[in-house]
Amino acid sequence: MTREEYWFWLCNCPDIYQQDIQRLLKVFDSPEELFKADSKVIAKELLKINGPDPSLNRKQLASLLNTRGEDEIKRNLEKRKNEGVSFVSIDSPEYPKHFDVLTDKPYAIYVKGKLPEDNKISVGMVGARNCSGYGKTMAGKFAKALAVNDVQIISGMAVGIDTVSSRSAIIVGGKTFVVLGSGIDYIYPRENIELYYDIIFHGGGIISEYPFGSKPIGWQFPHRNRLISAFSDYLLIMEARKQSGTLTTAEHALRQGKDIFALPGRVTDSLSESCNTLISEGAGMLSTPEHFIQYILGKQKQNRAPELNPQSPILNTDQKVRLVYSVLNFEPKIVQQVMEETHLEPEETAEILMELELSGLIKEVGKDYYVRED
Amino acid sequence: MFCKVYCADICGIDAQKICVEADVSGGLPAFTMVGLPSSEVKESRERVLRAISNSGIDLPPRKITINLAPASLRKSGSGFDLPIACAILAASGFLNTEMLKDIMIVGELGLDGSINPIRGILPIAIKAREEGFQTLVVPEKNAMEGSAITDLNVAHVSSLKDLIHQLNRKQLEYAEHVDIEETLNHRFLNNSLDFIDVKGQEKAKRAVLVSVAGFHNLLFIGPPGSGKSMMAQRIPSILNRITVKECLEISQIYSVAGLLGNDSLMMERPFRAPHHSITNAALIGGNNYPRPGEITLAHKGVLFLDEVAEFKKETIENLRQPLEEKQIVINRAAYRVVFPADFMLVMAMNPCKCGFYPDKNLCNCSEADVSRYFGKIRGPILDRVDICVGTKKLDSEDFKTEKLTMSSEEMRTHVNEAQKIQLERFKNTGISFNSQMGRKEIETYCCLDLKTQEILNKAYEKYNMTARGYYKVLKVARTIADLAGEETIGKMHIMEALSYRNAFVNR
Repeated sequence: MTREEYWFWLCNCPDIYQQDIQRLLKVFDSPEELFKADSKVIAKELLKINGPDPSLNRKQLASLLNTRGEDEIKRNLEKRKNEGVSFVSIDSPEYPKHFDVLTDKPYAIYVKGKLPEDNKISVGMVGARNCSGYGKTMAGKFAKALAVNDVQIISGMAVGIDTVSSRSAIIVGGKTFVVLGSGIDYIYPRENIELYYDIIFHGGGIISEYPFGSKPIGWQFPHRNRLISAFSDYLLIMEARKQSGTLTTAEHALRQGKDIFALPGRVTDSLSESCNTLISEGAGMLSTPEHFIQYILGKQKQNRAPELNPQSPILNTDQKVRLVYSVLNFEPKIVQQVMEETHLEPEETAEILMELELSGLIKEVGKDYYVRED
Repeated sequence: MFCKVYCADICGIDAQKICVEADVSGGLPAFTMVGLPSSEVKESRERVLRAISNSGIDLPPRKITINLAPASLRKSGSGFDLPIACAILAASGFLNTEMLKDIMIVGELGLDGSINPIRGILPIAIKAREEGFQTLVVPEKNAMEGSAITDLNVAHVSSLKDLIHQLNRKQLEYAEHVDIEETLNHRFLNNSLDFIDVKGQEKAKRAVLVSVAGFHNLLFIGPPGSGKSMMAQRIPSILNRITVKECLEISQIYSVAGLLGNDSLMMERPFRAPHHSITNAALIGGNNYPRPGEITLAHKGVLFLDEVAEFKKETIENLRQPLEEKQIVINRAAYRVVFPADFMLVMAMNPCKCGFYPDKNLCNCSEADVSRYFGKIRGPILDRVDICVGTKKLDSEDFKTEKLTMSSEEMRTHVNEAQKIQLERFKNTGISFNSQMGRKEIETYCCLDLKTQEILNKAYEKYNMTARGYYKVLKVARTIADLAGEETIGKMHIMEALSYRNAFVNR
């Protein structure tokens, strides 16, 4: 068996977790040695690791001994390959150099599609799942602007900011890579199934450190966040409430010595609370995408702007249309509020709003709530 | 001796003629009642006998047999007491039988011989006239209700003694006939609920105006406390005046349901707002004995379902057919009745579980939560809502505002004008409002010019509308054009109608 196959065996033993492997490998030099070791020796080591916990010891010992069928290991690895999943162990030359900053490197990762390229800049974009219209719009703008400048977008494929970032990168033909909190074949959340395949199709990649078929268990998400920050050269926090899970990513990034940027918001917006705090604590402040790109790419590179909606002609023809458009922003605003600010009659307001929506300048996000579309 | 007295029983919202036959003959003293009486009718034996003796009549102990014909029909209600008492008295020779031939008698007896009011007098009076009776004897408290019917003499009695006296003298005391039309014209509008109290909701008020003008069903979506119920309660104040025919129709329903006041008819359009814990039978109608449900009680008026997402799913689903057919047929093993149910449906709901979506500072619901919440009423019932409008969470300034806002009277004027146009348009078609237009009418009356058609087509594509949604927009646009007094539907009418579509809920 090859080294890779030994690693595949060890990483797929049920009930053996990363810290167990770490401890076992302090005694055994390589997975191969462990594979060939005598059951009594292993039992002795497990006793040292776990203490006198007979049920756990018995379970782990059985797991290490009963999975030693060489044919089966080879067959399983082959099967994964046929499904388009590559297995990359810590000893493999393909193992990402990004992970050098980690103190608890995963022993192996599963990759569907590609891994982020080392010689290109990667930017991690994370934020609240339950985000606001403002967060969504800004995440979209940044992701698009970065992606057209050949920056790789790293994210976590959660709903909300993560989804918008990855999706926007794909829209402008950029590449995006996501690190999952579940097994690589377990698409979670379910509604992102289309995004999952689009990421691979458009030259990006899906990465997971958890064995095949792992369910999306709660602790795995903050755990995988260290990989998101490890892949990223810069980490952008688009929106986060107080005590948001997104902050664990920021913590990892700090520990790994990455630059953190946060999107500022109004101090009254609960979704901007953590972002504003980060900025006050020294994180970079995001203003415009162009500004940020200028910063990371330096002046030597041509800063390309993504193609925005060309200014619609209807904004130039009618003053009232312009007035209505001007009172709308990225926060949902109800029609009644628009009427009060513009002093227009309900009939007229309805007509103008429909006109703006039909020309794609604004969007209805809740009944009678409108936001600008960019 | 044998004697016959006529009375009536309620079936659905109509009455049925019943003949009470009494036979008093020799044999062991007994009291037998046949003819499928329900338990409250059977119990009348005790009331009748005690009332007779307490009226000072000493009934000799004989064998009394009562038959309620037709025997195949189940009889319920307490209106049989008085006719049974009269039949027994006549058969025993205490009452002049001559008068009984062409009068109908209904009423409930108290043990002291007093006569209590019963429900359903109005349909009974209608039936009595239909069957050719000249006189209807009713409890005193029901007199006003009965006397609204023309070509029928309504006599009112307060006690059994009183009735015996009047019949034996062959002189009945008739109630004065009530002219409904005059009463309707001279009635003061109940203006305690006026739209002028609703401030800071101009958009929603406009939507209410449009939906009332074309009798379109309406859905409010908004945060708690934004005035959804307040506006719904005020809708009757802008509905057009009730006609004599409608007044009788509604009163008949309320009479059967026992909800009519002692001395009045329904002079206003009903507004029914059942709580969301309502059962199917209470909403739709039906029971062991058929009783009208809330949808029938809202006939020619407004049915308001507040917090519609909290109603049981199947309860809401039950509204589908009545909304389409304007009536409900209730089929049970024992009976089949048809109740009218031509109402305007007004519903209100929050935009999510906590009620503040999409205000992310207050709402912490995820997208999945929001669509799950809307999922509770997703489907065909929303297809029957023509107008959907969002209400604004009020801030403190809205309460202080001195800004002028439309009053119910102004709104009613607009409604009346728009409805006049519709009445003229649909003169010979059997419908009266834009919302009732079928495909054929829409094609005739909702013609668009090329440019407007283009806009509608664009919206159709963009919003993935259904055919039903497309026609709904046209119908609402027709009403908006009528409100503006325009003959052709213009671009702005289509645009406004599009803004009322409820596509968001269906996403």
